[in-house]
Amino acid sequence: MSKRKLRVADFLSPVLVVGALVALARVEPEIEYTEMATPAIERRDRFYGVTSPADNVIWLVGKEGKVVRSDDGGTDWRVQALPTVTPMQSIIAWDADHAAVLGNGGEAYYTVDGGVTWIATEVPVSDIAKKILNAEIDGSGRAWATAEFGVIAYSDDKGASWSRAGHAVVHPVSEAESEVAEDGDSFEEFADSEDVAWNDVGFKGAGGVVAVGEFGSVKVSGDNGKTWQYAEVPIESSLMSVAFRDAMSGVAVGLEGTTLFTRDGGLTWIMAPKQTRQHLFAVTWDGKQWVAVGEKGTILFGRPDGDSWKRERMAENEYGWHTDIEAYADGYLVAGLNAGIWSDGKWQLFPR
Amino acid sequence: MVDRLATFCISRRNLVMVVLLGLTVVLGLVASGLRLETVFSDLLPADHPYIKTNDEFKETFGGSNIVSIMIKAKEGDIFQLPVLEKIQKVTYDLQYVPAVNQFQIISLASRKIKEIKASTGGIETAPMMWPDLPSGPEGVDSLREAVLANPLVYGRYVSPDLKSALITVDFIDRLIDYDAIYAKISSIVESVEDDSVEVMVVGEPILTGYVHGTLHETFIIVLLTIATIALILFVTVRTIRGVLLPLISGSISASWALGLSTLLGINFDPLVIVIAFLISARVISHSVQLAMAFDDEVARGENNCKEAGRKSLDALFRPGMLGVLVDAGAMIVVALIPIPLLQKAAFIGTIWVGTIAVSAVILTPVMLSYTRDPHAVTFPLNTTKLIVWVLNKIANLVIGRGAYAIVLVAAVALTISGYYAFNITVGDANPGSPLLWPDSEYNEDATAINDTFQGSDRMFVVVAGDEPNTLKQPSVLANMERFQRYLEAQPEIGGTSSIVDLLEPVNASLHEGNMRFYERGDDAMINGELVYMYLSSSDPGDIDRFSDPQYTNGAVTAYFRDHKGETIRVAVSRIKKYIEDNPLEGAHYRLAGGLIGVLAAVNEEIFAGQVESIALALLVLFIFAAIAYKSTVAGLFFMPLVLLSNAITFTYMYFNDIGMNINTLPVAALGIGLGVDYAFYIVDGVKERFEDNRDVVASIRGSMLTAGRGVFVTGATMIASVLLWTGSSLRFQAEMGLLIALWLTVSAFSSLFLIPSMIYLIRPRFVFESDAEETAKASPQPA
Repeated sequence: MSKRKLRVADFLSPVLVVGALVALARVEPEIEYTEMATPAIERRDRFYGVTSPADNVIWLVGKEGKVVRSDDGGTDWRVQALPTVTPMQSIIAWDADHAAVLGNGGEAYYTVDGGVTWIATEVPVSDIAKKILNAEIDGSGRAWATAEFGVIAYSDDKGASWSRAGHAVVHPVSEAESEVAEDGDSFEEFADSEDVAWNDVGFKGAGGVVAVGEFGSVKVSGDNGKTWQYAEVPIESSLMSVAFRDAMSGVAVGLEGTTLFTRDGGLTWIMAPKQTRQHLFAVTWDGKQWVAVGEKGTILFGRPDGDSWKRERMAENEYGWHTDIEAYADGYLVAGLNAGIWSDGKWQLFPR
Repeated sequence: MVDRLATFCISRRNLVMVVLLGLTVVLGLVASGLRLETVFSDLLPADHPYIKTNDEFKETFGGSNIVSIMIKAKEGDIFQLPVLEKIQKVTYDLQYVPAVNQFQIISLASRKIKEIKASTGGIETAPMMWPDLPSGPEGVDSLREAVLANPLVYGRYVSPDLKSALITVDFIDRLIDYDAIYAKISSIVESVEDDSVEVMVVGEPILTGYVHGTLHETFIIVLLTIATIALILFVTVRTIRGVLLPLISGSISASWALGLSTLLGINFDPLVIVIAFLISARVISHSVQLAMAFDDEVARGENNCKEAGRKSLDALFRPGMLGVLVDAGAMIVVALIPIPLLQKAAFIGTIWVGTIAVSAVILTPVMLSYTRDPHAVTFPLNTTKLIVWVLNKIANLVIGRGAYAIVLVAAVALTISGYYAFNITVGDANPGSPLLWPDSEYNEDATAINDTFQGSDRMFVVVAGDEPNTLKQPSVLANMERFQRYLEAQPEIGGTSSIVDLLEPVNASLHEGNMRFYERGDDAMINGELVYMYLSSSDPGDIDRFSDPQYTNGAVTAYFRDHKGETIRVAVSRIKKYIEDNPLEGAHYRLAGGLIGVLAAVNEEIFAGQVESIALALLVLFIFAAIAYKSTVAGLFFMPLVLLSNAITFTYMYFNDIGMNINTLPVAALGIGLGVDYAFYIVDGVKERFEDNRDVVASIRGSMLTAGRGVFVTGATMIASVLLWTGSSLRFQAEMGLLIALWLTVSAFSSLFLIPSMIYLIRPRFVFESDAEETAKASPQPA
């Protein structure tokens, strides 16, 4: 065995070993970034609006301008990028391709390709307060939007362009308004600077539109919103939602459990016995009964006449609030603090 | 030189004994004043940026010592007066717990939990259940409604199913006395527990108090361990001296190390007891080797006990000191990790290991030299014969072809275990506390609380603004909310909170409770108004949990369901990424406070330090072995054994979900040098014999029958006794007991199989050339 070889090894090994160990000791380990997929529906999402324009197609819209869509009845969801982070209050859809979302600051977007792309458009809201609170589609396919500071707007091209509905108020129908008139304001002036946030509109067919809003305000139009007249309402708390089942019969719900019904197309309203003190935010007619949702997991069922209601809790541990409801299959789509399908007493949350 | 030292020690043995025993008595007396306690600040790497953030903001945003108490109604929900009364009583009594931060006692019954009410004049905020309980069923009903309506309470301080209420309390870190807190909170809990409610408690002070409460059990285990060691030694060596001397060495080392620690003002964390045991095991092991060498000298015909003692000291001084130096070196490098607990453990450990040089290597042969009848045995059954028979069988295997097989098996084992060893978790590998068994009361409480609420372990990330009112800026609030969303995507995070969550309900309330206004304001002025509204009827300090009074610095707090190393690592890596991708305007994020923030800092230091300390420990081994045998090959020769025992132990940790954390790291670090002294004794035995007989095979066999016998005996002793620890009610002790047993087993097996095989196959020059020859070679030779 050659001594020389060993010498080289003897010389090399300490340098190598010490070098390697010192190098190892100086290694600064990096903590690797862990990718984690964000679920389509997050815990912090608040969905103000929900709609289903076609079988198994469900759209939700809400806080931070978030739009999500499911094509399989609510099992899988994907986020659709809206070019905004402003809260969006409502989504309306004509079919699986055409839809519009509207919300705070008067921001509005529409799509013609099922939400792949959203195009910004303008709604003529007030300069003072711009929040659009709700939107609906009437029987003729016209879209309606209700907003702060007296604004009601409509669109006849599936949300692409919006015009303001008329402000003109024809003859007073109640003494309340008469008193206002006697104070010296003409009705036109009053209407033009209407400091009422309109929360919702309902449709009676043949151009019949009814709007409900703050402080128990209700106004009725028979000519697709060109002219309006105020209705007689027995309360002063805000009304949040209105719906009709035919030209005459409708209900309106609002704060502190208010449930009103009308049998004359919305000109006069009668209070149904209160079943709850919780706020009610949305009401719909499902063909058989009225259904309303609101605060703290409240769900209310009304007989077709709207004069008698029954209160239930959506689920034993459901105490969240909900701002939108729509009949869907055998149950209802409900959206708010959380979102899901309520059917046959069972509350099935969308996966998140 | 060694020769002269050995001669001196033996010839002046009375003097040596008097001096050493005198020192032992004095230091033993000093050691009785040792503080057995956990000092909170010891656990934290003070210079780490997270710890700085924690220190700066913990008084308001919640530190790492928060205790959570859950009161669960056995029947119905908590909205019944007797249960509410208990919540109130606990909340009230907590004010009298030592070191409590009065402003951070939060529950349904505290002043800070408020109801936001809309009214004609704007909004009102009023405490929900302070100072009085609701009166009558109506009051209880409206309290229930108020809770349901408030997302800051519902789900956070009252469980979603309404069956449980949470009370959280924080402490002033510098005043903390864990045992006092534990005792007081336990008595509060006892005072409200009855058939109607279950009470569960979780938090670091409770955990620490609980661990301290098991100290008496630990002492019983220590006594049992000593008894077991004595028994096994008695059976295997059959002499009283063979039993007593190792135990005396162990006691002397302990008294010196603990005495010196006390003098240096170092406190002793009860969890470090395992390390104490580990080092004592080293002392005993060395002492047994010397006793075996003594027996060997006697067996070889040396009947003069003084001479036999001198010879064994002379022969084993090199491997003994090498073992001590390597162990001590491996231990002291742990001090490079800037966590005081680890540094103190490293110092105590190094001192302790250092004492072996005297207590075992020198003192054992000195004491042996007093032996009167070296041949006397206490019982006739010759266990030595059996051991020798086994060792002979092993020798037959390693001397010959078997050696190839053994080296091959070792190489395969090293490769496989090396692969897994790198996957070891840094931090805790299990939910709950890794110190305790999963079915311990504490961990069951922790599980229950984390299942019921959003999570009891918190991390706060500070949003540090450049100027006052930064937290009212819409862009900052939007970024914070986005951050909260991002955090909540991690399944282990049960929820988050920030000032954003405060503003949204106020805004909705201002709009008649219309949830379409459940949102932040569009500009700083509106946000300021919302804050003002919230605070209008509240006390100063109410917003402390979310922001400082100038709205310059705020907290985003995340509630974690567990504090596993993986959970924290994932969270921190994601947070860093978020901060990079989402810069704040006029502010920046600062990581991170609360228990999770603190643990993140500790884990980062350990993560960075563990590779460093392992590398440096190997370096220590290399340098000392190279110097001792004047050969770099010797430096490398022992590495496979060390790598193998570590890799296998780490693999065991990986498969048993034992993480590398502040408690396990010192054990692991000491383990690096653990057992390598077995190999030193074997190698040195071969070398000594070869110098006498120049016969490779006979030298290997001879060493195995003497040094190998020591390895066999101490290995068996240690392994059997550490297994006692597996019965500990502290999971940490049980697992560390098993780990140490594993380490020693692998080292013992490697020393008995692998090292002789390697010697046989490689025939390293440092073994088979005498020191004299090497010295001659090292000097220049004529051409």
